[in-house]
Amino acid sequence: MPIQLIYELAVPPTRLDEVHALFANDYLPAARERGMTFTGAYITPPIELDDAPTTLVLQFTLPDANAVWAMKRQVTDSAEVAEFWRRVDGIVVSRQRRFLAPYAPAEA
Amino acid sequence: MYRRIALLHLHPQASPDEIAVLERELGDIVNRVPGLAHAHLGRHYPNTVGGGEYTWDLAFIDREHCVAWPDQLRVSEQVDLFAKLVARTDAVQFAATNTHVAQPAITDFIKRTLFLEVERSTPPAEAQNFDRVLTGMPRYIPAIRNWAYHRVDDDAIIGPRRWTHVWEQEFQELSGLRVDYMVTPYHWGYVDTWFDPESPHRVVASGVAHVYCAAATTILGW
Repeated sequence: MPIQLIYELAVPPTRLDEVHALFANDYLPAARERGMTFTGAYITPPIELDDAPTTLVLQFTLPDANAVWAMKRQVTDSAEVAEFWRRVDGIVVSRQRRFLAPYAPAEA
Repeated sequence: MYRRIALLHLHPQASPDEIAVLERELGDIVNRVPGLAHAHLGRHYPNTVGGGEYTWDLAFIDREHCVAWPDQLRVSEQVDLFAKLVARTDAVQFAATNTHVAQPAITDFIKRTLFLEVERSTPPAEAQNFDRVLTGMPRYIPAIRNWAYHRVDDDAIIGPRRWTHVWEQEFQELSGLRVDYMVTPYHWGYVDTWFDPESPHRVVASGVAHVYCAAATTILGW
């Protein structure tokens, strides 16, 4: 079962395109090389707001736990990744990075 | 008990005979240092990170008997040995007040030690939350048979790093550490977010010392 990884970036009005372009150009190519499969970009609320942050959700999958650790090892001392997040943090209001797992209620 | 843990990095040119002398000397220290109750020298498995070649676990009967590191080497007549063979020592010490030994009779097992540095700018509530999450690992990883987590004494750190904590486990099998400990979502998907440089709530400075060695009888149960 692939592992889901999502980034949630709270982007101030008018800057969604800027943040998405930064991600597409300066993060995504190397992320793919680290074994991350990009599965889509979403916004919530499902329309760009003009008076409050809109959250840009970036979704990835990785095949298993070993792939997660391999990805993390490649980032540990990466100046490029650190610089990317420094630039993002200069724009966004906040950000989160979460791993997800499928949930199904236990059978009675 | 009051414990000291030293991670030893050898000089690359140390010969097998010299290493044998080092192992004998450091393993034979208990009767040479007043108040030292227990000692264990463990040679690290391959692929450990940031902690050199050996973990040297020491336990004193109380804080007063744990003399300063240079004095310990002097009393045990090991100053010249260290000068010749040990390129770097990372040592920390603490009162053993947070140790959980469910399996005191464990034998022929793996002792794992992690030195880490929580950024000192971390707000106390956040640091406490990190402590709570990290020490939750034994509930999700049955392979952890015994464990201990301690804040080290700031005024007695030896070496170039300002370590803040030691996280230790005893596993019956090597697979308990290399597989169970690593594949649980509690570790890679939750605990590690406090270590991960891409995580906005990271609190642990980069560069941990992650080491493990074989041991015959429990160290955490001293």
